[in-house]
Amino acid sequence: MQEDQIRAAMLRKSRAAKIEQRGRAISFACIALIVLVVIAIFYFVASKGLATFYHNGVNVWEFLSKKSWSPSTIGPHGKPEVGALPMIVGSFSVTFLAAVVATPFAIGAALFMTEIASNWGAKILQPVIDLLVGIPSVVYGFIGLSVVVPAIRNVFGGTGFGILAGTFVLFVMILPTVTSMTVDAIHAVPSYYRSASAALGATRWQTTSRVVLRAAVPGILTGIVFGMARAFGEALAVQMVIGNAAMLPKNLISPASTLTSVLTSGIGNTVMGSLENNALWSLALVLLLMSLVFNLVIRWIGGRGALK
Amino acid sequence: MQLFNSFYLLLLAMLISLPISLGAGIFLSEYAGKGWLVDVVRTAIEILSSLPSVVVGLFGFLLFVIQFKFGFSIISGALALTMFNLPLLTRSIEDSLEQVPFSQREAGLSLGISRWETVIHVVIPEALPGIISGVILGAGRVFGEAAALIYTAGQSAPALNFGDWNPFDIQSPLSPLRPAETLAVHIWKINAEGIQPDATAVSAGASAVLIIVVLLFNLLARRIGNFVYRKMTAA
Repeated sequence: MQEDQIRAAMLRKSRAAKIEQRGRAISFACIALIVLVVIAIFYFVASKGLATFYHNGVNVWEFLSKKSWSPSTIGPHGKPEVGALPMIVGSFSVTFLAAVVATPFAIGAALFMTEIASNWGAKILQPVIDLLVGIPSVVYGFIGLSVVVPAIRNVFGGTGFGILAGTFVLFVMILPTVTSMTVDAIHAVPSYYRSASAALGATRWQTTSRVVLRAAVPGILTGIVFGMARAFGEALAVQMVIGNAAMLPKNLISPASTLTSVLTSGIGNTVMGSLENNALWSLALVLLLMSLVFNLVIRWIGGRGALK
Repeated sequence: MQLFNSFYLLLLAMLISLPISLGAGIFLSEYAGKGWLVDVVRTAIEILSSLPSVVVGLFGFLLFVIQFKFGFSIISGALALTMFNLPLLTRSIEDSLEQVPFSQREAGLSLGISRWETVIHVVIPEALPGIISGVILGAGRVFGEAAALIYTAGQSAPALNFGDWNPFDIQSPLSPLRPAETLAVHIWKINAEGIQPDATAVSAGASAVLIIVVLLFNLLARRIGNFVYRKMTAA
Protein backbone atom coordinates (compact mmCIF):
# COMPACT_ATOMS: atom_id res chain seq x y z
CA MET A 1 0.00 0.00 0.00
CA GLN A 2 2.71 2.37 1.01
CA GLU A 3 4.80 1.35 -1.99
CA ASP A 4 1.92 2.21 -4.27
CA GLN A 5 1.72 5.68 -2.80
CA ILE A 6 5.44 6.24 -3.28
CA ARG A 7 5.18 4.86 -6.77
CA ALA A 8 2.31 7.21 -7.55
CA ALA A 9 4.21 10.16 -6.12
CA MET A 10 7.26 9.35 -8.18
CA LEU A 11 5.31 8.98 -11.39
CA ARG A 12 3.22 12.09 -10.94
CA LYS A 13 4.42 15.08 -12.83
CA SER A 14 6.09 17.69 -10.70
CA ARG A 15 4.72 21.20 -10.46
CA ALA A 16 7.64 22.48 -12.46
CA ALA A 17 6.97 20.04 -15.27
CA LYS A 18 3.34 21.12 -15.44
CA ILE A 19 4.29 24.78 -15.56
CA GLU A 20 6.81 23.97 -18.22
CA GLN A 21 4.22 22.18 -20.31
CA ARG A 22 1.74 25.00 -19.99
CA GLY A 23 4.34 27.62 -20.87
CA ARG A 24 5.44 25.67 -23.88
CA ALA A 25 1.84 25.37 -25.04
CA ILE A 26 1.25 29.12 -24.62
CA SER A 27 4.30 30.13 -26.56
CA PHE A 28 3.55 27.57 -29.26
CA ALA A 29 0.02 28.93 -29.57
CA CYS A 30 1.44 32.41 -30.16
CA ILE A 31 3.71 31.27 -32.94
CA ALA A 32 0.93 29.22 -34.50
CA LEU A 33 -1.27 32.30 -34.51
CA ILE A 34 1.31 34.29 -36.47
CA VAL A 35 1.69 31.53 -39.05
CA LEU A 36 -2.08 31.32 -39.27
CA VAL A 37 -2.27 35.05 -39.96
CA VAL A 38 0.21 34.75 -42.81
CA ILE A 39 -1.71 31.85 -44.33
CA ALA A 40 -4.98 33.74 -43.90
CA ILE A 41 -3.62 36.83 -45.65
CA PHE A 42 -2.46 34.76 -48.59
CA TYR A 43 -5.70 32.81 -48.75
CA PHE A 44 -7.98 35.84 -48.64
CA VAL A 45 -6.04 38.00 -51.05
CA ALA A 46 -5.51 35.11 -53.45
CA SER A 47 -9.15 34.05 -53.41
CA LYS A 48 -10.23 37.63 -54.09
CA GLY A 49 -7.54 38.33 -56.64
CA LEU A 50 -8.07 35.16 -58.65
CA ALA A 51 -11.78 35.86 -58.94
CA THR A 52 -11.00 38.25 -61.79
CA PHE A 53 -9.60 35.39 -63.79
CA TYR A 54 -12.01 32.61 -62.83
CA HIS A 55 -15.21 34.45 -62.20
CA ASN A 56 -14.95 37.33 -64.66
CA GLY A 57 -13.04 35.33 -67.24
CA VAL A 58 -10.17 37.73 -67.76
CA ASN A 59 -7.10 36.29 -69.39
CA VAL A 60 -4.11 36.35 -67.02
CA TRP A 61 -1.72 37.31 -69.77
CA GLU A 62 -3.96 40.11 -71.00
CA PHE A 63 -4.26 41.36 -67.46
CA LEU A 64 -0.51 41.64 -67.17
CA SER A 65 0.25 43.00 -70.62
CA LYS A 66 -2.66 45.19 -71.79
CA LYS A 67 -2.18 48.89 -71.56
CA SER A 68 -5.62 50.33 -70.93
CA TRP A 69 -7.13 50.30 -67.49
CA SER A 70 -10.82 51.17 -67.35
CA PRO A 71 -12.58 48.36 -65.51
CA SER A 72 -15.77 50.34 -64.99
CA THR A 73 -16.65 50.87 -68.66
CA ILE A 74 -17.15 48.44 -71.52
CA GLY A 75 -14.28 48.54 -73.98
CA PRO A 76 -14.33 48.05 -77.76
CA HIS A 77 -14.20 44.25 -77.37
CA GLY A 78 -17.45 44.26 -75.40
CA LYS A 79 -15.55 43.59 -72.23
CA PRO A 80 -14.20 45.95 -69.60
CA GLU A 81 -10.51 46.60 -70.06
CA VAL A 82 -8.29 45.57 -67.21
CA GLY A 83 -4.74 45.95 -68.41
CA ALA A 84 -2.51 46.38 -65.39
CA LEU A 85 0.66 47.09 -67.33
CA PRO A 86 0.76 50.87 -66.61
CA MET A 87 0.61 50.25 -62.87
CA ILE A 88 3.17 47.46 -63.00
CA VAL A 89 5.51 49.60 -65.09
CA GLY A 90 4.97 52.55 -62.74
CA SER A 91 5.69 50.50 -59.65
CA PHE A 92 8.81 48.93 -61.09
CA SER A 93 10.22 52.13 -62.52
CA VAL A 94 9.90 54.18 -59.33
CA THR A 95 11.30 51.29 -57.33
CA PHE A 96 14.31 50.67 -59.53
CA LEU A 97 15.08 54.35 -60.08
CA ALA A 98 14.91 55.02 -56.35
CA ALA A 99 17.20 52.08 -55.65
CA VAL A 100 19.65 53.15 -58.35
CA VAL A 101 19.81 56.70 -57.00
CA ALA A 102 19.96 55.63 -53.35
CA THR A 103 22.70 53.01 -53.65
CA PRO A 104 25.74 55.25 -54.19
CA PHE A 105 24.63 57.64 -51.46
CA ALA A 106 24.03 54.77 -49.06
CA ILE A 107 27.39 53.16 -49.73
CA GLY A 108 29.18 56.50 -49.41
CA ALA A 109 27.47 57.36 -46.14
CA ALA A 110 28.08 53.90 -44.76
CA LEU A 111 31.76 54.00 -45.67
CA PHE A 112 32.08 57.37 -44.03
CA MET A 113 30.46 56.06 -40.86
CA THR A 114 32.51 52.90 -40.63
CA GLU A 115 35.89 53.40 -42.28
CA ILE A 116 36.63 57.10 -42.40
CA ALA A 117 35.11 58.79 -39.37
CA SER A 118 34.02 55.83 -37.33
CA ASN A 119 33.96 57.74 -34.03
CA TRP A 120 31.93 60.86 -34.45
CA GLY A 121 30.40 59.75 -37.74
CA ALA A 122 28.71 56.83 -36.07
CA LYS A 123 27.82 58.84 -32.99
CA ILE A 124 26.04 61.56 -34.92
CA LEU A 125 24.79 59.81 -38.02
CA GLN A 126 23.44 56.65 -36.41
CA PRO A 127 20.71 58.40 -34.35
CA VAL A 128 19.86 60.57 -37.35
CA ILE A 129 19.41 57.51 -39.53
CA ASP A 130 17.36 55.76 -36.85
CA LEU A 131 15.12 58.79 -36.76
CA LEU A 132 14.80 58.95 -40.53
CA VAL A 133 13.73 55.30 -40.62
CA GLY A 134 11.02 56.12 -38.12
CA ILE A 135 9.52 59.12 -39.88
CA PRO A 136 6.02 58.23 -41.09
CA SER A 137 5.62 57.83 -44.82
CA VAL A 138 2.79 60.35 -45.07
CA VAL A 139 5.19 62.98 -43.83
CA TYR A 140 7.55 62.10 -46.67
CA GLY A 141 4.60 62.28 -49.01
CA PHE A 142 3.61 65.68 -47.70
CA ILE A 143 7.13 67.02 -48.09
CA GLY A 144 7.21 65.60 -51.60
CA LEU A 145 3.94 67.30 -52.37
CA SER A 146 4.93 70.68 -51.01
CA VAL A 147 8.63 70.76 -51.97
CA VAL A 148 9.53 68.25 -54.67
CA VAL A 149 6.50 68.62 -56.92
CA PRO A 150 6.69 72.44 -57.23
CA ALA A 151 10.44 72.21 -57.77
CA ILE A 152 10.00 69.76 -60.64
CA ARG A 153 7.20 71.90 -62.04
CA ASN A 154 9.53 74.90 -62.09
CA VAL A 155 12.49 73.10 -63.57
CA PHE A 156 10.94 70.73 -66.11
CA GLY A 157 7.49 72.20 -66.62
CA GLY A 158 4.38 70.05 -66.69
CA THR A 159 2.41 69.39 -63.55
CA GLY A 160 5.31 68.17 -61.50
CA PHE A 161 3.47 65.01 -60.59
CA GLY A 162 5.05 61.91 -62.00
CA ILE A 163 7.60 59.18 -61.75
CA LEU A 164 10.42 61.62 -61.05
CA ALA A 165 8.68 63.02 -57.99
CA GLY A 166 7.86 59.51 -56.81
CA THR A 167 11.47 58.50 -57.27
CA PHE A 168 12.67 61.43 -55.19
CA VAL A 169 10.33 60.69 -52.33
CA LEU A 170 11.14 57.00 -52.34
CA PHE A 171 14.85 57.72 -52.57
CA VAL A 172 14.72 59.76 -49.38
CA MET A 173 12.57 57.10 -47.78
CA ILE A 174 14.72 54.09 -48.50
CA LEU A 175 18.08 55.83 -48.09
CA PRO A 176 18.26 55.38 -44.28
CA THR A 177 17.16 51.73 -44.53
CA VAL A 178 19.76 50.89 -47.15
CA THR A 179 22.45 52.89 -45.34
CA SER A 180 22.00 51.20 -42.00
CA MET A 181 22.00 47.74 -43.60
CA THR A 182 25.14 48.63 -45.53
CA VAL A 183 26.77 49.78 -42.31
CA ASP A 184 25.93 46.43 -40.73
CA ALA A 185 27.36 44.60 -43.74
CA ILE A 186 30.62 46.56 -43.58
CA HIS A 187 30.87 46.03 -39.84
CA ALA A 188 30.54 42.31 -40.42
CA VAL A 189 33.73 42.22 -42.55
CA PRO A 190 36.37 40.76 -40.24
CA SER A 191 39.11 43.23 -39.27
CA TYR A 192 41.89 40.86 -40.30
CA TYR A 193 40.86 41.42 -43.92
CA ARG A 194 41.78 45.05 -43.44
CA SER A 195 44.99 44.17 -41.64
CA ALA A 196 46.00 41.72 -44.37
CA SER A 197 45.35 44.28 -47.07
CA ALA A 198 47.29 46.94 -45.19
CA ALA A 199 50.17 44.49 -44.71
CA LEU A 200 50.32 44.10 -48.48
CA GLY A 201 51.01 47.81 -48.72
CA ALA A 202 47.56 48.92 -49.88
CA THR A 203 46.41 52.39 -48.98
CA ARG A 204 43.29 52.83 -46.94
CA TRP A 205 41.19 53.71 -49.96
CA GLN A 206 42.49 50.67 -51.86
CA THR A 207 41.65 48.50 -48.86
CA THR A 208 38.21 50.01 -48.59
CA SER A 209 37.26 49.86 -52.22
CA ARG A 210 38.81 46.52 -53.20
CA VAL A 211 38.67 44.42 -50.03
CA VAL A 212 36.06 45.70 -47.63
CA LEU A 213 33.41 46.59 -50.19
CA ARG A 214 34.01 43.38 -52.12
CA ALA A 215 33.58 41.29 -48.99
CA ALA A 216 30.45 43.21 -48.01
CA VAL A 217 28.69 42.80 -51.38
CA PRO A 218 26.11 40.18 -50.26
CA GLY A 219 25.13 42.28 -47.26
CA ILE A 220 24.89 45.45 -49.33
CA LEU A 221 22.78 43.71 -51.96
CA THR A 222 20.46 42.45 -49.24
CA GLY A 223 20.10 46.02 -48.02
CA ILE A 224 19.29 47.27 -51.51
CA VAL A 225 16.69 44.59 -52.16
CA PHE A 226 15.22 45.27 -48.74
CA GLY A 227 14.93 48.94 -49.61
CA MET A 228 13.34 48.04 -52.94
CA ALA A 229 10.80 45.84 -51.20
CA ARG A 230 9.93 48.76 -48.97
CA ALA A 231 9.68 51.13 -51.93
CA PHE A 232 7.54 48.71 -53.89
CA GLY A 233 5.01 48.37 -51.13
CA GLU A 234 4.97 52.02 -50.17
CA ALA A 235 1.55 53.43 -50.85
CA LEU A 236 0.60 56.81 -49.51
CA ALA A 237 3.78 58.77 -50.06
CA VAL A 238 3.88 57.70 -53.69
CA GLN A 239 0.19 58.10 -54.20
CA MET A 240 0.41 61.72 -53.09
CA VAL A 241 3.04 62.72 -55.65
CA ILE A 242 2.70 60.46 -58.66
CA GLY A 243 -0.39 61.99 -60.21
CA ASN A 244 -2.59 58.88 -60.37
CA ALA A 245 -3.24 58.53 -64.07
CA ALA A 246 -3.64 54.93 -65.07
CA MET A 247 -1.80 55.16 -68.36
CA LEU A 248 1.61 54.14 -69.56
CA PRO A 249 4.01 56.94 -68.58
CA LYS A 250 5.55 58.64 -71.61
CA ASN A 251 8.38 60.25 -69.71
CA LEU A 252 9.56 60.78 -66.17
CA ILE A 253 7.47 63.86 -65.47
CA SER A 254 4.11 62.78 -66.87
CA PRO A 255 1.56 61.56 -64.35
CA ALA A 256 1.58 57.83 -63.79
CA SER A 257 0.36 55.40 -61.18
CA THR A 258 1.63 52.45 -59.21
CA LEU A 259 -0.06 49.31 -57.98
CA THR A 260 -0.33 50.71 -54.49
CA SER A 261 -1.60 54.13 -55.53
CA VAL A 262 -4.44 52.67 -57.58
CA LEU A 263 -5.31 50.39 -54.69
CA THR A 264 -5.49 53.10 -52.06
CA SER A 265 -7.48 55.50 -54.16
CA GLY A 266 -9.73 52.96 -55.84
CA ILE A 267 -10.86 50.31 -53.44
CA GLY A 268 -13.10 52.55 -51.42
CA ASN A 269 -15.05 53.63 -54.49
CA THR A 270 -15.90 50.23 -55.91
CA VAL A 271 -18.59 47.75 -54.98
CA MET A 272 -17.58 44.52 -53.34
CA GLY A 273 -17.70 41.59 -55.78
CA SER A 274 -17.87 43.68 -58.95
CA LEU A 275 -15.26 43.41 -61.68
CA GLU A 276 -13.63 46.73 -60.79
CA ASN A 277 -13.24 45.56 -57.24
CA ASN A 278 -11.94 42.14 -58.22
CA ALA A 279 -9.43 43.69 -60.58
CA LEU A 280 -8.12 45.82 -57.74
CA TRP A 281 -7.76 42.71 -55.61
CA SER A 282 -5.79 41.15 -58.43
CA LEU A 283 -3.44 44.12 -58.20
CA ALA A 284 -3.11 43.43 -54.49
CA LEU A 285 -2.28 39.84 -55.35
CA VAL A 286 0.44 41.02 -57.75
CA LEU A 287 1.80 43.19 -54.95
CA LEU A 288 1.77 40.27 -52.55
CA LEU A 289 3.56 38.00 -54.99
CA MET A 290 6.17 40.65 -55.69
CA SER A 291 6.95 41.07 -52.01
CA LEU A 292 7.30 37.28 -51.89
CA VAL A 293 9.76 37.47 -54.78
CA PHE A 294 11.78 40.17 -52.99
CA ASN A 295 11.88 37.93 -49.96
CA LEU A 296 13.17 34.99 -51.97
CA VAL A 297 15.84 37.18 -53.57
CA ILE A 298 17.01 38.32 -50.13
CA ARG A 299 17.19 34.72 -48.93
CA TRP A 300 19.03 33.67 -52.07
CA ILE A 301 21.61 36.45 -51.71
CA GLY A 302 21.98 35.67 -48.03
CA GLY A 303 22.51 32.00 -48.76
CA ARG A 304 25.14 32.75 -51.38
CA GLY A 305 26.92 35.14 -49.05
CA ALA A 306 26.97 32.56 -46.27
CA LEU A 307 28.71 29.98 -48.45
CA LYS A 308 31.87 32.02 -48.80
CA MET B 1 -8.87 64.47 -31.57
CA GLN B 2 -6.83 62.82 -34.30
CA LEU B 3 -3.94 62.78 -31.86
CA PHE B 4 -6.06 61.05 -29.26
CA ASN B 5 -7.21 58.53 -31.86
CA SER B 6 -3.61 57.83 -32.80
CA PHE B 7 -2.62 57.15 -29.22
CA TYR B 8 -5.67 55.09 -28.44
CA LEU B 9 -5.15 52.91 -31.52
CA LEU B 10 -1.50 52.54 -30.64
CA LEU B 11 -2.38 51.48 -27.10
CA LEU B 12 -4.92 48.90 -28.25
CA ALA B 13 -2.63 47.51 -30.94
CA MET B 14 0.19 47.19 -28.43
CA LEU B 15 -2.08 45.52 -25.88
CA ILE B 16 -3.04 42.89 -28.43
CA SER B 17 0.31 42.35 -30.07
CA LEU B 18 2.67 42.44 -27.10
CA PRO B 19 1.57 39.18 -25.38
CA ILE B 20 1.40 37.33 -28.68
CA SER B 21 4.80 38.44 -29.87
CA LEU B 22 6.29 37.85 -26.42
CA GLY B 23 5.09 34.25 -26.55
CA ALA B 24 6.28 33.85 -30.11
CA GLY B 25 9.66 35.37 -29.32
CA ILE B 26 10.07 33.04 -26.33
CA PHE B 27 9.19 30.04 -28.44
CA LEU B 28 11.64 30.98 -31.19
CA SER B 29 14.54 31.70 -28.88
CA GLU B 30 14.01 29.08 -26.16
CA TYR B 31 12.08 26.12 -27.47
CA ALA B 32 12.56 26.04 -31.21
CA GLY B 33 15.42 23.88 -32.28
CA LYS B 34 16.55 23.53 -35.85
CA GLY B 35 14.31 21.88 -38.37
CA TRP B 36 12.31 22.57 -41.47
CA LEU B 37 9.20 23.50 -39.48
CA VAL B 38 11.02 26.21 -37.55
CA ASP B 39 12.51 27.36 -40.82
CA VAL B 40 9.04 27.68 -42.32
CA VAL B 41 7.88 29.66 -39.29
CA ARG B 42 10.81 32.05 -39.53
CA THR B 43 10.18 32.53 -43.23
CA ALA B 44 6.52 33.23 -42.52
CA ILE B 45 7.47 35.94 -40.04
CA GLU B 46 9.90 37.47 -42.50
CA ILE B 47 7.24 37.50 -45.21
CA LEU B 48 4.75 39.07 -42.85
CA SER B 49 7.21 41.81 -41.94
CA SER B 50 7.94 42.66 -45.56
CA LEU B 51 4.33 42.68 -46.75
CA PRO B 52 3.25 46.03 -48.14
CA SER B 53 1.14 47.76 -45.54
CA VAL B 54 -1.63 48.35 -48.10
CA VAL B 55 -2.05 44.62 -48.45
CA VAL B 56 -2.25 44.22 -44.70
CA GLY B 57 -4.81 47.01 -44.60
CA LEU B 58 -6.88 45.42 -47.35
CA PHE B 59 -6.76 42.10 -45.57
CA GLY B 60 -7.96 43.80 -42.40
CA PHE B 61 -10.72 45.47 -44.42
CA LEU B 62 -11.84 42.13 -45.82
CA LEU B 63 -11.64 40.12 -42.63
CA PHE B 64 -12.51 42.50 -39.80
CA VAL B 65 -14.60 45.17 -41.44
CA ILE B 66 -16.66 42.96 -43.72
CA GLN B 67 -16.42 39.37 -42.52
CA PHE B 68 -16.60 40.07 -38.78
CA LYS B 69 -18.85 43.11 -39.33
CA PHE B 70 -16.84 45.40 -37.08
CA GLY B 71 -17.27 48.16 -39.64
CA PHE B 72 -14.75 50.96 -39.90
CA SER B 73 -13.77 51.02 -36.28
CA ILE B 74 -10.94 51.35 -33.85
CA ILE B 75 -10.95 47.65 -33.16
CA SER B 76 -10.48 46.80 -36.86
CA GLY B 77 -7.69 49.33 -37.08
CA ALA B 78 -6.00 47.99 -33.98
CA LEU B 79 -6.17 44.43 -35.30
CA ALA B 80 -4.70 45.49 -38.66
CA LEU B 81 -1.93 47.33 -36.85
CA THR B 82 -1.36 44.18 -34.83
CA MET B 83 -0.66 42.19 -37.99
CA PHE B 84 1.75 44.88 -39.02
CA ASN B 85 3.39 45.02 -35.62
CA LEU B 86 3.65 41.33 -34.75
CA PRO B 87 6.64 40.37 -36.90
CA LEU B 88 8.64 43.46 -35.91
CA LEU B 89 8.05 42.91 -32.21
CA THR B 90 8.66 39.18 -32.42
CA ARG B 91 11.98 39.74 -34.12
CA SER B 92 13.17 42.32 -31.62
CA ILE B 93 12.03 40.24 -28.64
CA GLU B 94 13.71 37.14 -30.01
CA ASP B 95 16.92 39.08 -30.61
CA SER B 96 17.02 40.53 -27.13
CA LEU B 97 16.24 37.15 -25.57
CA GLU B 98 19.07 35.58 -27.50
CA GLN B 99 21.50 38.20 -26.27
CA VAL B 100 21.08 36.87 -22.73
CA PRO B 101 24.10 34.68 -21.96
CA PHE B 102 23.44 30.97 -21.66
CA SER B 103 24.98 30.84 -18.18
CA GLN B 104 21.94 32.72 -16.88
CA ARG B 105 19.68 29.93 -18.08
CA GLU B 106 21.94 27.26 -16.67
CA ALA B 107 21.90 29.04 -13.33
CA GLY B 108 18.11 29.02 -13.37
CA LEU B 109 17.89 25.38 -14.36
CA SER B 110 20.38 24.33 -11.70
CA LEU B 111 18.05 25.78 -9.08
CA GLY B 112 15.57 23.10 -10.11
CA ILE B 113 12.96 25.40 -11.64
CA SER B 114 11.44 24.65 -14.99
CA ARG B 115 12.56 26.11 -18.26
CA TRP B 116 9.44 28.28 -18.50
CA GLU B 117 10.03 29.72 -15.03
CA THR B 118 13.64 30.36 -15.92
CA VAL B 119 12.51 32.29 -18.96
CA ILE B 120 9.91 34.30 -17.07
CA HIS B 121 11.92 35.09 -13.96
CA VAL B 122 15.50 35.14 -15.15
CA VAL B 123 15.82 35.65 -18.89
CA ILE B 124 13.07 38.20 -19.51
CA PRO B 125 14.16 40.66 -16.79
CA GLU B 126 17.66 40.44 -18.19
CA ALA B 127 16.39 41.08 -21.72
CA LEU B 128 13.90 43.75 -20.69
CA PRO B 129 15.81 46.83 -21.87
CA GLY B 130 16.06 45.36 -25.35
CA ILE B 131 12.43 44.36 -25.34
CA ILE B 132 11.28 47.79 -24.18
CA SER B 133 13.29 49.67 -26.74
CA GLY B 134 11.97 47.30 -29.39
CA VAL B 135 8.43 48.00 -28.25
CA ILE B 136 8.91 51.75 -28.29
CA LEU B 137 10.53 51.74 -31.72
CA GLY B 138 7.69 49.55 -32.96
CA ALA B 139 5.28 52.05 -31.45
CA GLY B 140 6.95 54.77 -33.51
CA ARG B 141 6.39 52.79 -36.69
CA VAL B 142 2.78 52.07 -35.81
CA PHE B 143 2.11 55.66 -34.85
CA GLY B 144 2.94 56.94 -38.32
CA GLU B 145 1.27 54.09 -40.17
CA ALA B 146 -1.55 55.21 -42.36
CA ALA B 147 -1.95 52.87 -45.33
CA ALA B 148 -3.09 49.98 -43.17
CA LEU B 149 -5.64 52.17 -41.46
CA ILE B 150 -7.45 53.91 -44.31
CA TYR B 151 -9.74 50.96 -44.93
CA THR B 152 -9.89 49.62 -41.37
CA ALA B 153 -10.14 52.48 -38.90
CA GLY B 154 -11.83 54.70 -41.45
CA GLN B 155 -11.29 58.26 -42.56
CA SER B 156 -13.81 60.09 -40.46
CA ALA B 157 -13.72 61.35 -36.93
CA PRO B 158 -17.24 61.76 -35.53
CA ALA B 159 -17.84 64.17 -32.70
CA LEU B 160 -16.80 62.74 -29.40
CA ASN B 161 -18.04 63.47 -25.95
CA PHE B 162 -15.00 63.56 -23.73
CA GLY B 163 -17.11 63.58 -20.58
CA ASP B 164 -18.44 60.14 -21.42
CA TRP B 165 -16.04 57.40 -20.44
CA ASN B 166 -18.34 54.44 -20.93
CA PRO B 167 -16.59 52.29 -23.53
CA PHE B 168 -19.88 50.87 -24.84
CA ASP B 169 -21.28 54.25 -25.82
CA ILE B 170 -20.71 55.19 -29.45
CA GLN B 171 -19.90 58.80 -28.57
CA SER B 172 -17.39 57.92 -25.90
CA PRO B 173 -13.72 58.33 -26.84
CA LEU B 174 -13.05 54.83 -25.49
CA SER B 175 -15.60 53.04 -27.64
CA PRO B 176 -13.69 50.51 -29.73
CA LEU B 177 -16.43 50.32 -32.35
CA ARG B 178 -16.39 53.92 -33.50
CA PRO B 179 -14.52 54.98 -36.65
CA ALA B 180 -11.38 56.90 -35.93
CA GLU B 181 -9.10 58.89 -38.16
CA THR B 182 -5.52 59.09 -36.98
CA LEU B 183 -3.08 61.91 -37.51
CA ALA B 184 -1.25 60.18 -40.35
CA VAL B 185 -4.47 59.30 -42.17
CA HIS B 186 -5.65 62.87 -41.72
CA ILE B 187 -2.54 64.24 -43.42
CA TRP B 188 -3.04 61.88 -46.32
CA LYS B 189 -6.73 62.61 -46.66
CA ILE B 190 -6.60 66.37 -46.74
CA ASN B 191 -3.77 66.30 -49.25
CA ALA B 192 -5.40 63.71 -51.48
CA GLU B 193 -8.80 65.37 -51.52
CA GLY B 194 -7.71 68.96 -51.50
CA ILE B 195 -11.05 70.46 -50.54
CA GLN B 196 -9.84 72.15 -47.38
CA PRO B 197 -8.43 75.61 -48.11
CA ASP B 198 -5.83 75.47 -45.34
CA ALA B 199 -4.69 71.93 -46.20
CA THR B 200 -1.03 72.86 -46.38
CA ALA B 201 -0.97 74.58 -43.02
CA VAL B 202 -2.91 71.80 -41.34
CA SER B 203 -0.76 69.06 -42.77
CA ALA B 204 2.45 70.92 -41.97
CA GLY B 205 1.33 71.18 -38.36
CA ALA B 206 0.22 67.57 -38.22
CA SER B 207 3.48 66.42 -39.80
CA ALA B 208 5.42 68.38 -37.20
CA VAL B 209 3.46 66.70 -34.42
CA LEU B 210 4.10 63.27 -35.94
CA ILE B 211 7.82 63.86 -36.30
CA ILE B 212 8.13 65.22 -32.76
CA VAL B 213 6.29 62.22 -31.35
CA VAL B 214 8.49 59.83 -33.30
CA LEU B 215 11.56 61.70 -32.07
CA LEU B 216 10.30 61.40 -28.50
CA PHE B 217 9.74 57.68 -28.97
CA ASN B 218 13.31 57.30 -30.18
CA LEU B 219 14.77 59.17 -27.23
CA LEU B 220 12.49 57.36 -24.80
CA ALA B 221 13.59 54.01 -26.20
CA ARG B 222 17.17 54.74 -25.19
CA ARG B 223 16.42 56.34 -21.83
CA ILE B 224 13.87 53.83 -20.56
CA GLY B 225 15.95 50.91 -21.75
CA ASN B 226 18.92 52.02 -19.68
CA PHE B 227 16.80 52.99 -16.71
CA VAL B 228 14.93 49.71 -16.50
CA TYR B 229 18.12 47.77 -16.93
CA ARG B 230 19.64 49.47 -13.90
CA LYS B 231 16.48 48.88 -11.87
CA MET B 232 15.90 45.26 -12.72
CA THR B 233 19.40 43.87 -12.56
CA ALA B 234 22.20 44.19 -10.10
CA ALA B 235 24.41 45.82 -12.68
